[in-house]
Amino acid sequence: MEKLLIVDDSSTMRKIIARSLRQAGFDIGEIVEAENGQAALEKLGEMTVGMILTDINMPVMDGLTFIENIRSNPSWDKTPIVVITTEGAESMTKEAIKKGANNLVKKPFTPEQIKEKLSPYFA
Amino acid sequence: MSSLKNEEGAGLLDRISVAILTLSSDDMRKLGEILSAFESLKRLAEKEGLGSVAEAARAADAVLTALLFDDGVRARWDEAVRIVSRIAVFCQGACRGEKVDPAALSTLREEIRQSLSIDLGESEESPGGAKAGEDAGPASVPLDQDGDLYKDFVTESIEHLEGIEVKMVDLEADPGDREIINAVFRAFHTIKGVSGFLNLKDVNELSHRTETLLDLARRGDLAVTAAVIDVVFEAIDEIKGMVRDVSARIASGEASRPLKDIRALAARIEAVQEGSGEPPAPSSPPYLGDVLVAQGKATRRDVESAWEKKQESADPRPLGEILIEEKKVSPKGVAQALRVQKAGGAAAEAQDIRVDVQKLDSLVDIVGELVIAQSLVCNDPDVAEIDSQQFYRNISQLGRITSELQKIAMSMRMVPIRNTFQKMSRIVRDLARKSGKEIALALSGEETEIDRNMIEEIHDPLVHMIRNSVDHGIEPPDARKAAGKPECGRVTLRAYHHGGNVVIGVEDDGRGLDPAKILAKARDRGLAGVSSPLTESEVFSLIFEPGFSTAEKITDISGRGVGLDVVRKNVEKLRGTVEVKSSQPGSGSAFYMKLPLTLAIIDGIIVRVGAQRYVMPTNNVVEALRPKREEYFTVEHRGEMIRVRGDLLPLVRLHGLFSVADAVRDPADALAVVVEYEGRKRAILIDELVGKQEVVIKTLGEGMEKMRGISGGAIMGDGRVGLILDVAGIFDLTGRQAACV
Repeated sequence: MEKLLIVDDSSTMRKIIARSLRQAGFDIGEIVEAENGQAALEKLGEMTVGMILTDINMPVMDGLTFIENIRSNPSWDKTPIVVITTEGAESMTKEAIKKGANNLVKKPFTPEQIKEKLSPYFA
Repeated sequence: MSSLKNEEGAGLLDRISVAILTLSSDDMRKLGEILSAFESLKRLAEKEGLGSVAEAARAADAVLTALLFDDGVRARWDEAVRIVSRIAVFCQGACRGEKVDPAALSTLREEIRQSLSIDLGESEESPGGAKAGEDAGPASVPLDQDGDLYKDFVTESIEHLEGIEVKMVDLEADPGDREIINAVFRAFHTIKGVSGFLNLKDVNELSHRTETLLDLARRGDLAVTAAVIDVVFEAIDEIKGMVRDVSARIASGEASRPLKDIRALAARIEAVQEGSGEPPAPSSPPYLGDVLVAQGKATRRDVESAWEKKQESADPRPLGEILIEEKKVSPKGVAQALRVQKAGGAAAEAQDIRVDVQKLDSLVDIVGELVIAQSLVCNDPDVAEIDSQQFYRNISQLGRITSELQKIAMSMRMVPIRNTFQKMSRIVRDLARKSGKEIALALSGEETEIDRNMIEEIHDPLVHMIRNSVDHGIEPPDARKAAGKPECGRVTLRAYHHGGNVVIGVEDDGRGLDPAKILAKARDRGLAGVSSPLTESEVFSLIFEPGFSTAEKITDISGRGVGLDVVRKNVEKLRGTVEVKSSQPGSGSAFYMKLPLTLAIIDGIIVRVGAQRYVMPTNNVVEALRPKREEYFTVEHRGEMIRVRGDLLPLVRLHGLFSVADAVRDPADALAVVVEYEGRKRAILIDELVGKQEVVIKTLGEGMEKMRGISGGAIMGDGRVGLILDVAGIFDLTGRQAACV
C-alpha cells in the first residue's frame, strides 16, 4: 500500500497506531498524520492514500464530519476508513459506521488485533 | 393498525433486502448502510403510528449494533444476519398491507434474546455488546518498554492538563459553555485513550471516570456546579501527580510503578454525578452555602449536612433558616451572606489584591536569580557525581518548581492589552473628526496579555501606526464612494500571541500601498538604488527608512517628516520588528509589530571574545560566517570592511570596542556575526559562537548604566557574568564609519 493516513488529535496516539501497524508487518510506504478532520482533508487534497484510520472525538473537525466529507467525494468513496474507537463511544462509532466507515478498532488494541482487523484491506 | 402503504417504506426495505443479500462477513460499511436504512424505517413507522414496524426496526438495530461491538455475536455472523433478514421480511409484509401478526414479531425478539443473547429491553443507545467495565484483558499490555512513548505521553498529558486548567477557570465564569466542557472532555478522553495502552491503569481509570462525568455535562444531563468543577480540578491534580510520577520513574530508569489508589476520588466523582439533578443550575447568583463557607461563617460540612437534611425531609424552608435553627450560623451571618449572594457574589471572595509594581519587578528579578542558581547547582560537576536516584528525583522536582515559579512570576506582570486598545479608540475618533473622515474602529484580541512594562512602550508606536492608517490609508468619504467602497472606513486593531511573541496589528481598508510610488519616492530621496530590483516587501519596508514620507499634503496628523522610521526605532528598542502588508492598491494595508512577551528575558546568542562572554540579542543577528582573507578590505575613510554576499559591511572589532586583550585579531581566523538594526548591517568580529540561551536581563550597577554598547548583564549557565550587547549602541559608537551604507 502506498500511503496511509492516521487522523487523531493526540500525537502519542498517532505514534502508537503507526507503531502497531509497523509491528503488524503491513507493507506501508508512508504514514501521513493529521491532528483533526480539517487538517486531514487539507492533506488529502494533495495526494491519494490507500487507507484512513481516524479517531472520532477531535477538535476543529470531528471524525464523523470528516467521514461525511470523504464519502461525499466520489474519488475517495472507495478508500477504506477504519474508526479507532474507545469503550463508551459506541453510539458515536455506530454513527461513523452509518456514515460509511468500513470497520472499527477498539482502543486499547494489540498489534495482533490491528493485524486481524486490517489484513483484508492489505490483500 | 392498518397497512403501511408507503412507497418510501417499501423503497427502504428493498434497499435493505439487497444489502443483506450481498452482505459478506465483516463488511461493516454495508452494515452501516443497513443500519441507516433501518433507522429511517423506524422513524417513518413512528411517524405513521406503526408500532410493530418501529419495534421490528429497533430489534434489527440491536442485532446490527451487536454485530459491530460484540465479538460473541460477530462470531455467529450468518445467524445474526438471517434474523435481520427475517425482520426485513416481516416489515415488508406490513408495508404491502398484509395483516401484521404480532406473534411473529415476538418470536423474532425471543430468538434474538435466546440465540444471540442480546438484551432488547434496553434502549437503542446502549448496544448489546460492550459491557461497561469489560476487562480489556491482555490488550493493555504496553506496546514497548523503551520509555519513548511514555515520555511523549507525559509531555502531551501535561500540556493537555495545563490547558484545561485554564479552561476550567473560564468554565467557572460561564458554567453553561458547551464548547469549554467539550474541550475539557476531549482532553480527558485523549489521556484515557493513551494511558490505556501504556498500562497506566490508575490514570486510565481516573480519566475514564472524569470523562464520564463530563460527558453527562456535555449532553446537558448534569449541571456544572461548583462541586463538579472542584472534583474535576481534583482529578486534574491527581492525574498530573501520576503523570509526573511516571516521568520521574522513567527518568530514574525504574521498570515498574505502583498504582495510585483512586477510590476516594472516584467516590467523590460518583457522588457529584449522583447528585446531578438536584441542585438547580448555578447561574449568576452563588449558593448561599458557598458564600457562607467563603466568608468563614460556616464549615463546608455544616452546610452540606444541612442541605442533606433539607433534601431528605423535603424541608421547604430555605437553607439559611435551617442553619440558623441548628445554631451553626448566626442570623446576622446569614443575612450578610444573602446580601452577598444577591449582589451576584461579587464580594464573596477577594479575588484581586493590589501590589506595588516595584515589588512585582523585584519578584521577577529574584526568581530570575533563583533560576540561575538552580541551573548552577544542577550543572555543578560535583553534583553530577552524586549517585542517588532519590537525589535526582528531588533535583528534577526542584527544576520543575523553579520553572513553574518563573512562569507564574512572569504571568503576574502580564496584563490584557484591552486598556491600551480602548485608549486608541478615542484617538481614532478624534483623528477621524479632525480629518473629516468617517472611520469605524474594530478591536480584536483585547484579551491578549502583554508585559505590563511594555504597555507604555508600545503606546507611541501604536498611535503612530494608527495615525498613519487614518491619515494616509483611509480615503476621504467621496474618494471611497468613487472607488465603490462604503463611505465609512474601517480600522482594525488586532492583538494575538504567535510563537512566544505578541503581535499587534493595525489594519485598514484604505487605499493601500503603491509600490511604484514608494519606489519612486525612495529613489528621489536617495533611499534606494536605481538599478537593483527589489521585492515588494523590500519596497514596502522602505517606508520605515528615516526621511521617507509620501504624504503630499502636510496635515495636522502626520506627514511632517516624523515618519514611520520612529515606529521602527521604538519597536526595535523593544527587541521587536515591524512589518507592513498590502496586497494590492485600493484594498487596504496592515501594519504589524511583533514584540517579545516580556522585556525581562532575552533570547540571546552567546559569543566569546578572548576570555569575555557577550550576549547578542538573537533578533538582531542575521548570520555568522568566517570571512575569507580576500573578502576583507580596508577602505579609505571608512575603515575595515568585509564582503558578505556581495554587500560591503563595516567590520566592528568587539575586542577593540571593549579593550579585550587576548582576542583573535586576524579576521580570517575569527568569526563575523552579521547584525542588523534599522535596516543597516554590520559585521561584528568575535572569536567563537558559544551557544544559544535565554537569559534574564539584569541592570548593571551604578556608574555602569552609561556604558555604551552594553544594555545589561546576565548570569550565564556556568555562573559567570556575560554582558548583553546593545546593538543600537554599537551602531552609534561606530556610526562615523558607516554613514553611507
